[in-house]
Parts: sequence; structure tokens; C-alpha cells
Amino acid sequence: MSDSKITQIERDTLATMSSTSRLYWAGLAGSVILVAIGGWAWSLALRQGLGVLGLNEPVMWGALITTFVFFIGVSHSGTLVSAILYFTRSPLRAAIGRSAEAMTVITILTAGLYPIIHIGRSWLFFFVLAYPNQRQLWPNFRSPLTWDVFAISSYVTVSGLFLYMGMLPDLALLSRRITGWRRPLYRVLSLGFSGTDAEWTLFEKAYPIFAAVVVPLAVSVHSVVSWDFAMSVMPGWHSAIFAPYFVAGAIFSGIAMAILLLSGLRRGYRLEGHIKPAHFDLMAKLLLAMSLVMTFVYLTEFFMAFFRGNAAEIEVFRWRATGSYAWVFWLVMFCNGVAPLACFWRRVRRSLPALIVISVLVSVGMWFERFLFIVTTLAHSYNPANWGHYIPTWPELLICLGGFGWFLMLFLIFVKVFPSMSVAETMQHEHALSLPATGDEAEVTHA
Amino acid sequence: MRLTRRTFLGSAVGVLGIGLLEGCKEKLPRYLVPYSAPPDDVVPGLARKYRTVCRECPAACGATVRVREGRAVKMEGSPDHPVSLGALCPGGQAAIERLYAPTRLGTPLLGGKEVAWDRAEAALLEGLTGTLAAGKRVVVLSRPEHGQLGALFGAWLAALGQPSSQVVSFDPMARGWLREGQRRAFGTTATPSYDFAAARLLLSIGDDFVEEGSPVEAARALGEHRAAGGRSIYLGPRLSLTAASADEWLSVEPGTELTFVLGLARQVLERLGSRVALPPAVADGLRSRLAPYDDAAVAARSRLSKGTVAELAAALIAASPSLVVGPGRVAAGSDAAALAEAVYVLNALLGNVGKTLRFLADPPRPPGMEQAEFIRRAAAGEIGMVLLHHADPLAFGPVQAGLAAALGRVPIVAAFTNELDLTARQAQLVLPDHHFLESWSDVTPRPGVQGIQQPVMTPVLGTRPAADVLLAAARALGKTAGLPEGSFGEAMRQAFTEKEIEAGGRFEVVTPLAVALLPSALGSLPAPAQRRGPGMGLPLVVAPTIRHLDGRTPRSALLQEMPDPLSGFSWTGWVEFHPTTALALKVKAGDVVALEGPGGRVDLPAHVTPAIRPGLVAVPVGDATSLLDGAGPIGLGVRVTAVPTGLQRPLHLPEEGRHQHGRELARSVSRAAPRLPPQDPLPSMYPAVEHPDHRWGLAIDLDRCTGCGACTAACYVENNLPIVGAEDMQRGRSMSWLRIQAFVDETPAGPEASFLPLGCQHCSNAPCEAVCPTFATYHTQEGLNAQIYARCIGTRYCENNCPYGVRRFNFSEWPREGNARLGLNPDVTVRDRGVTEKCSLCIHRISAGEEEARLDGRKQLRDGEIVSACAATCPTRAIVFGDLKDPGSEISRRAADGRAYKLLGELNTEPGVVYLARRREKA
Repeated sequence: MSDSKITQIERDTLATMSSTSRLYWAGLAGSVILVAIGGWAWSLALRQGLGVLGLNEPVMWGALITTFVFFIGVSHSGTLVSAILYFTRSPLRAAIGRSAEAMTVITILTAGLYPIIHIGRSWLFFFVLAYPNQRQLWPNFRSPLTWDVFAISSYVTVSGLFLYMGMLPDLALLSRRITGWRRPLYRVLSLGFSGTDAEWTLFEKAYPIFAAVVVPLAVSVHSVVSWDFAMSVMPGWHSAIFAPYFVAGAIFSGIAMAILLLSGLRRGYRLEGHIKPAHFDLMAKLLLAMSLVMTFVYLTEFFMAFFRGNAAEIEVFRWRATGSYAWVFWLVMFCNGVAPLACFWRRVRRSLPALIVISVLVSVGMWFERFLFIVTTLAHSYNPANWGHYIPTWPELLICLGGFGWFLMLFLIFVKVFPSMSVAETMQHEHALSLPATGDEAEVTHA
Repeated sequence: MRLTRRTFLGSAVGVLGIGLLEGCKEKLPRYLVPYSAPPDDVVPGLARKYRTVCRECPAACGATVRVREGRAVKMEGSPDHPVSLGALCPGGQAAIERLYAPTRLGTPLLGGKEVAWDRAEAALLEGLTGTLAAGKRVVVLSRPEHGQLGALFGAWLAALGQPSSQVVSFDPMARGWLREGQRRAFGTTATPSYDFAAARLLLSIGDDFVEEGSPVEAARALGEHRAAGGRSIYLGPRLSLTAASADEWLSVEPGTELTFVLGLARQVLERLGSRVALPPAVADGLRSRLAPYDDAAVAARSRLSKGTVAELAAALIAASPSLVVGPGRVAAGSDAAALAEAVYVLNALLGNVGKTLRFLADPPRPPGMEQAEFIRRAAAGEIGMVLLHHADPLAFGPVQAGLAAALGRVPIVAAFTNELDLTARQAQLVLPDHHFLESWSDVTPRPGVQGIQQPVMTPVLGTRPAADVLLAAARALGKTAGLPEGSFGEAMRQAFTEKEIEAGGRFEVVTPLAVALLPSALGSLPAPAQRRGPGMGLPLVVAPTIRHLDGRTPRSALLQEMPDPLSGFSWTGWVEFHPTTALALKVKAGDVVALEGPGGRVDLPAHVTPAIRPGLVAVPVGDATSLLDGAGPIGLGVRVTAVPTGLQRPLHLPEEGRHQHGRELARSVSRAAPRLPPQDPLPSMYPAVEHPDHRWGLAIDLDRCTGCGACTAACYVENNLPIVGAEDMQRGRSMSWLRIQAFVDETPAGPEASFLPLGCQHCSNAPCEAVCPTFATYHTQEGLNAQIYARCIGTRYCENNCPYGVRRFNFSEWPREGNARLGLNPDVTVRDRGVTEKCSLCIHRISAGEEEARLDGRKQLRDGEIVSACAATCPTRAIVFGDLKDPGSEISRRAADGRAYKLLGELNTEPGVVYLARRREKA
């Protein structure tokens, strides 16, 4: 590789950090405003009580928990995708790995807010933490919510370290390339990585360990979140399929979110040369596969309900499809089951606008899917005299919207402060490409 | 500013000071205990109990009031009082709430302006002097007061030189037609006394005795009747609580009830033949008068299927002694008195008189003034001054228009009242009276029962007892002849012995009168009932409800908050339609419908239910008064039109939540074989939960439950439950720990209502306990599913995972207005916003009971020593509290019954609450 090529790669991959477009500022301003609005709505709930939400007896969990599960789902794919791509030595990883990992960490940080916002006494959320105290009070280790705390905190720690670890060479590079206030930051953060062979050898040894740890952890975290529901006695929740169902749903929504974010980055920072239609094609295939898995799960749930013959469960599923939330049900079926089928066509997979539309539909569908199973089960469980309905109120929706703003804000700050594509990996990758091409790689490098 | 140690400390003190000042803004009661030096025998922390009488309705149940630190906190039925026998209805339970209600008046009003008592008393004196000087009459218009207070009114009038009979008794809900019918049938006006328990078959002709009259006494008797294996049949236009408690609900074409009863009487007479227990001459006379009412004619008019009357007659004869009661408000038309007469005749034919129907001679009562006479004299301008005493005629709208107009013609109206009710608003002078828990009186609801009402605490407000205000006025006028020397309370103490006051009254057994059917009975039968109102209208049924009794103003917040057991509405009235009627009127459930009757218009949300006969409109009493005219007693013979307004007021509960969907929550068994199929214990991965000493629980007999909701109201008062208001109730945020779930299911035999009192089931394998991340809920060694509020962070996971849906979340901090905080039970924590709560099984009562046993040195607790608030007040004893580990306890006996089952038993939650299936003709 020539020096000019290296400079070119550096310039491209670090473009997000060096140039700041108006669009970026607009996006950042917009997201900060959303966060402010969401924060204000939360302050209403803090001051006046959760009465400002639409929750009621019997629907005690609603839009906030839906958004929590949604963000956990989105988080899922990031690290998982990145680690899997690493192990499969996929060329896609250089392009999307970093932003996918960042997305993971940021979405968990976002998701983690919701349980705190949603509980009745947010200021006492630390009761669920296992901290030593004089009274020897511990959280209830039988409660799936306690498992959640452990699963999510482990996941955020490991995926944070995975992200950080992968960034070390880049940070080292940045500490030399960049001037101004960020320079000392990178110097500290790069932990003295100077790119010697010995360091690289160690790095190459350590990195797979994180990648290997993060994969089962990613599977576990969403399984644990699913047990919040599956471990209950409620019809429509109490089902063994929930863990794989949530993992699949998480990958599904995560891919969709990754497509959206990458297409934004690609456009915003002119990364067409690095994030290629072939990459989108691969993601679309994964999206399609996951959509088929989801459809299978939906059908299995219905089959099992009727197969078991439990009256309450049959009624919940009947009601989901035909009751007051039938429109949500059919929306979910369309967004998650039907729309992604378009990815069977290569032309759709290679068309960015089409993929964006599908990804938006999938994201919407996955949010409503969580809403659907949370609300319909609660609103229609064992005791008919305790049936009800739930409509989110506007403070509730604003808090949810604030979460999206928070997510976007952190992401935009991230791309400004850290390289959103791995410089080192891109170089390795481009270097590999400059060698005589092998057959299978030739296919993906040409759009 | 540089932050140094000095500036830091300075600003910290400043912040602390601001915080403290902020804290001081809250207005706290000045004294925790209303006396600075409590009497020697008052121990802070220990409750004192006083016997008194509940004055929320004329039934006048005996009550025991629990007083803590000088404040009444709970009222319960007095076990020694023959009317209440230890129980109270929801209205009685809500009396405490009314005592501290923000609507109570504490300052006299003169011309609508607050004035001091000396001004008000001067105004009263001025009015009296002026009226007496002008030679006009002074009249007392009072709720029924037949005891010492009534006598005082008479004596006071006499002292003033007025006729002592100028006391008008205001009882708008009196069912005068019953006495009239009785007079015609038996020639007596004595008080009838019914023995439900002895009756093997009870037939109610629209008599909603569970809702109206003396609901506690009637419900208790009904419970005993059912427990003894008695059957009951209800005939009326709608499936009321009373109808739902009966084994069979029949309805006839409105207005043909008289034909039906006469047809029934004819069938009975025919079938009994010479066996009829009447003199032959009387029987023959009846035979000829009843001749036109053969089966075919009755079936054609009443629209009952042929043979129904004959079957019923046979059943009544077979089940001797039986009892026929009524007619109640919903069955009575313009022919009400004749219908009542026919019912008494039927009882006489069946030989029930002297067995299940007795007459008790009334104690002598001083003569009073009839309402009609009052209206006449007022119109003539003879009356110069009226003293209202807890009488609110204006609340009854057009029904009492005559009385309202008469009051308008009286120059001076002074009102003794607790609240600024509609009539008091019109009065020149309002003199706030003590609440009945703060003052003296005595009430005789029926012969042989003289309940004493005594003050149980010092007044919360600056009120004065009406009797003492009157006495002071008489003294100021220098006219004290025949009046007591001291206060009215002192006079009461002289009239009754200390023992009687302690026991809550004077109770004696009264020998029934011997009565015989008059030969003239059914001599003159009226023309078929006519209805007044718009010609196109539908017949209006004025439905008595247990919540509002007569619909007086202002209503109790607690009673309004509690959903009506059948319709589910709270904080509003409603109008009932049969689905076919609703379809014809283009009304859907939850639509606000404009009703127009001869008296006026009212807009109410629609309740569409099969539990009413098609072609009718039913409205609860309190909301119906504006539709009625003054031409008859409340509720009889009116037609109304119904038009949807286009507005909506839906319930939180969806329509499909009114049915059981075959889930067998409220189960029933056949009367012939009252056993449920045995259920094998379900397998569990976990060892069974052990309860070493006690396993507290409830046994709820659905066969006895009438759905009255007294348990719910008692729970609100006992456990400091917040009242959330109309808006939050509509959003499904009721805080009730114990609710009455009503299901109306369609069966081949017609709609069938079942009630399921539902609170925490105190499961051994509680789904809520496993999921709480902070151990805020856990299982105690005594079988309670306990909730630690301080540890609760409000994840609401427990609520989601409760298959019964009985946990409650404090969404907001609902205000406790007025003096409501004084009425809080100090034994129960007031919960914070953001925490979950639910039935504690009155854990504070359990602790108190166990503590008492420990102090007595007893290891064993006696069954019935500890009683939860719901079980204590249940009029039918449907709810029993006890220790499931004590094999001799009532609850263990019930749990071993073949009818016992656990709710949602298939989930293996192992509840501590046992339900007993209801007995039905066919399960």
C-alpha cells in the first residue's frame, strides 16, 4: 500500500472526527432538544407521581418498558454482530464493527434509564443493587429483575471493554494525528499503545477473548430480559420460547438499526468507498433470515397456545389478533413478517432507499411487538373482571422520545470524539485487498 | 465566590434553614391528642370502644366505635344490637369518612355568610321572638326522631306556647304503601316482623331488602335463610342485588305485578282447598274475588309462560312455612297499596302469619304534623318559622316540590345540619349540628329496640348540638317550663342507666300481636296501574342502591368511589337498558343518555345489561329524583324518554370483563349435590411452605355473599385507603384492597349474577413474592403475604404477576381533605406515592390479638378472637377470618366443606383464601 493510500484511508475513516457539517450540528441540537423534552416529561412523573402516565390496573407496564426492551434488543446486535464478524473474518467488520459496538454500549446506557424512570420511587433504584450494607439486606436473587441488573451491567461492562479494546490502536494513532484538546485525552486513553510487534501480538491474543466472551453474554442478556416475562405466570408470557424469541428479535431489530445508522454515516461522511452495497446486501440477508425466524416464533406462540388448551392463554392470543389492539398486531405482522420478505430480491437488497424503508418498518414493528405482548397479556389475563386497556399519555411518549434523542445524542458525540470506523482494521483490510484477489472476495468488493 | 470552609458552612446553614421553613408551611393539626391532659383511663396507643347508633339511614343499626387518642377511627356493628348484630352496611362504614369530610360545616351561616355562634344564636332568638309576637307557628321539620330528641322538640314547642305536635317527620324514602296494605288486609298498623331464616321458600315481590329498608338486618337474615337450605325467588324488573342473591329471578310485564300476585293467591287457594287456614267465610269471599285471575288471564297479562304461576303456587305450598315480602319500590305502581294488601293476603293463605310474618305493637309516639298539613298551613301563611333538623327536601327535586314551595313561603328557615345541603343553602340561618358520633339521641327502629346514640369523641369542628341550641334559646326567652334543667346530654344520662348506655340501648323481646285477615280484604281492587310521563316513554324503574340509599346531598366520597356492584359505575349514576332496548334506542354501553321524565331531565351514562327486563329503563334512586314528579312516592309509575347525547363516559372495565368466560372464578354447585369435584394436589418442584403456628386466611361463602360491599367500605376505613376521585377511577386506579367482582353470565335459564369478593389471596406459592427484586413482599411464618412499604421501589412486577389482579399501586398522592387525617387509623401505615400495596389481612389486628393473648399468658388464640375488618362487618357472615391450622375453627370447617375451592387453583398458588361455591338449583 502506498503512503498516499494510507493517508486516504486515514482521512476517510477519520472524517467524522475532523469535519463537522451543519447537518451534524442540526442533528445534535435536535437530539439535545429531545433529551430536554424527555427530561422535562420525566420531571413531571417525579413531581406528580406516575399518575401522569397512562398506566393503570391491570396494565402496570407500558410504553416505558416497551422502550426498554426495544433498546436492549437494539443493543444486542451491535456487539454480537461485531464479534461474529470478527470470528468469521468478515470484511464487513472493518466498515461497521466500530459503530455497531458503539451502538451497543449507547443503547444499553439508554435502555438502562427506563427501568429507573419507570419505577415508582426512582430515587431508591439502588435497592436492586447487591451492595453490602449494615442491615444485611440483599436483593431477591429469585427475581428476574435482579438477574436483569446483573445481566445488563455485565453486558455493558464487557461490551464497553470490547469497544475500548478494539479502539486502542486507533486511539494511539489519534494521539499522534490529532491536535487540540482531544490529544491528551487520546494519549491517556491509548494506554501507551505504540504499535510495536509485541503489542500487536498481545492485542491479537486478547481481542478474541473479549469477542468470545461477548457472544454468549449477548445471548444471555436478552434471554434474561425475556425471563422478566417468561418467568411470570401470565398467559402469553409464560413460555419457554421467550429466550430464543428475544435473542432473534434483538438481532432482527439490531440489524435494522445498524442499517439505518450506517446509511446515515455513509451518507454524512462520504464513506461510500468503505461501506459498500455488498455490505448492505449481507445485512439484508441477515435481516431476512431473522424475519423468517420471527414469523416462525409468532406462529409457534399461537400454535402452542391452542395446543396447550389453556383457556386464558388461548383467549390472550385470540384477543391479540382480534381485540382492541388488533391494529398493533397486524402492524407488527406486516412490519416484521411481510415487509422484510422483499429482501428475497437482490435488487431490494442492493437498493439503499428500499433497505432504509424496510429497516424503519422493522424498527417500528419491533417496538410495537414489545408493546403488543406486554400490554395485551396484562390487559387480558386470568381474571376477566380485571381486564382493561392502556393508552400511553403524552408525557409517557415524550419520555420515550427523549430516549431516542438521548441515544442519538450520545451516538453523535461518540462519532465526534472517537473514530466511527476502525482505522487499523480498514488498513489491514485494504492491505489484504491490495494483494492478489481471491475469488470470493472479488464478489463483494464491487458494487 | 470562592468556596472556603466558612462560605460552605454558611451556605449549608442557609440551605438548611430554607428547607426547614419550607417544611413548616405544611399545616399540621395543633394537637396530636385532642386533650392536653388525657383522662386517667385513656392510654395512648390503646383503643377505646363506645356503643352508639348509626344514623346514616333510618334502619339505625347499633354500632361500636373504636376511638384512638380521642378520635373515632372506625365504626363497626354492635354485636348486642338486635338490628346490626355486629355488622354494618357500606353506608355505616362510610360514616367515619363523613364525620371528617371537608363538606362538613363548622361555622354558622347567617344569610349565607359565616358568623360567630353568638350572632347566630341571637338571630335564632330574634326569629323566634318575632314569630311568637306575630302569633305565627314555629314548626320543626326533622328526620324521624321518635326518642328523647323527638320528645324534646315537642316539649320545646310547648314551652314556647306552641302545640307540641308541630313536628313534621321527614322520611322521603318511607314505603307508606306497605303500612296501607297491611291496614287493609289485617286492620293493623303495627310493625311487621319477618323471619327469613324460618321461611323455607322466600318470595320477594320486587322487595330489594338487601338494598333498602334495614339492609344489615335483612342480609343477615337472608344469610341464615340460605345457610339453613332455604330457597328464594325474586320477582322484579331488574336483577338487583336482592334478585342476584335469590335462586330464581322472574319478571313480569311492568304494572301487572298485582295481577300476578292475585293469580298466585287464586292458585294457592285452589290447591289448598279446604286445608286453607282461614275461616270458610273469609276464604269463600276471597275465592269469588280472585276468580277472574285464572292462569290463562295472568299469563296473558304478565307475559309469563303458562304454568309458571301454578308451579310457584305449588312450590309455596310445599315449602311451608314460606314468606312473601314486598312490594318494593321497583314493583310498586299506582296500585302499590293494593299490591301490598294482596301480598299480605297471600301470606295469610299460605299460613305464614304468626310463623314467618308477625306484627309487633309500636311503642306510643307523640303525635306529629303530617307533611300535607304543613304544606297547607304554610300556604295559608300560618307558619312563621321552620327549624329544619337533618332534613333536606330539596335534594329530592320535583318529588318534594310541594314541601320546597311550602318552605319558600315560610319567612324564616333555620337549618340544623352537618353539611351545607341543598335545603340549607336556601335557609336564612344555618346552625351546624354535631355529627351523630358527637352527640346524643336515641332511636327505635322497630319495637323492642331502643338504640342509644352517645357522643364518642369531642367535636372536630365548632359545631353545637341542635338540642342544646334549642334549650339555650328557650332559656334566653325565659320559657323553660317542662324542659330539662341542664344540657340534653344530661337529660339523656338521666333517661337511661349507665348500663344501658354502655350496652348501646334498651333491648327487649316483644310479644307479637294476634292478627287475622279481615273479611274485607281485597274488597276493592284498583284499576290497572297507570304511568305518568311522556306517552312515547319507557317505564322507569327507580332502583334502590346499597351505596346511596336515598341519594341525599352531599354524597359520601367513599360511597361514590366504590363502584356499584352490578353496573360498575363510580362517582356517577347510570341508566340501565336491556341490549334489545339499547339497540332500539341506538344506545351503546358508556354513551351518555338524556332522560326526560315528568319531573325533568337528567343525563346519565348507559349500562347495557341482560340483567333488566327488555323495554324498561332503570335509574338508581339518587339520580332518578330529578325525573320524578311529586304525584306519588319516589319511584312509582313514571315513564321517561331516553335519547343518546353523543357524549361518552365509558367504564375502565371493558364490557367483556363482565362475564366469566367459563373460567369458573365464582363457582356454583347444585343444591342437590353441593360438592365440587375433588382436586388432586398439583406437583411442585419446591418443598411445601411450612407455617409452624398459624396460617391466617379467609373463608368466603359465595352462597351468602349479597355483593353489598360493606367489606370494601370497611377496608377503606380500617386501612387508610386513599380516595382517588372520579377521574382516576375511570382510568382504573382504584385503591381498594378488597373489591366485589360481579359477573353476569348468560345461562339457558337467563342471566345469572355472581359476586366474588376479591382481595389478596395470601398465597403460599405467591407469584408476586418471587419476582420482587427488593424483598418488599414476602411470606410470613403465619401465612401472610406481607408488604414492606419502606422497601418497595415500585417496579410493579408483583402487580403484573398477580393472576388475581389484587395489588394496587400509588400512582399519585391523593389529598386527604378536611379533617380526613384525623380519621386515619394510627395502627396502619399511610403509604407513600410510588409504592405498591394490597390487603394485609389486617395484620395490625392479628398482632394486637396475639399481643393480647401473650399478655394474658395464653398460648392458644380463641377462634374469632381476631377478626379482619371485612369479616367483622359482613352482614351475612359470608366472610370468616381465622386460622387454617386450628382444626376447630370456623374457617377450617368451611375449608373442609365440599363446596370449598381455591381461586385459579390450577396455578398452584396455594391461596390462604378459601371460597365456598354458591348453591344453585342447577349448577
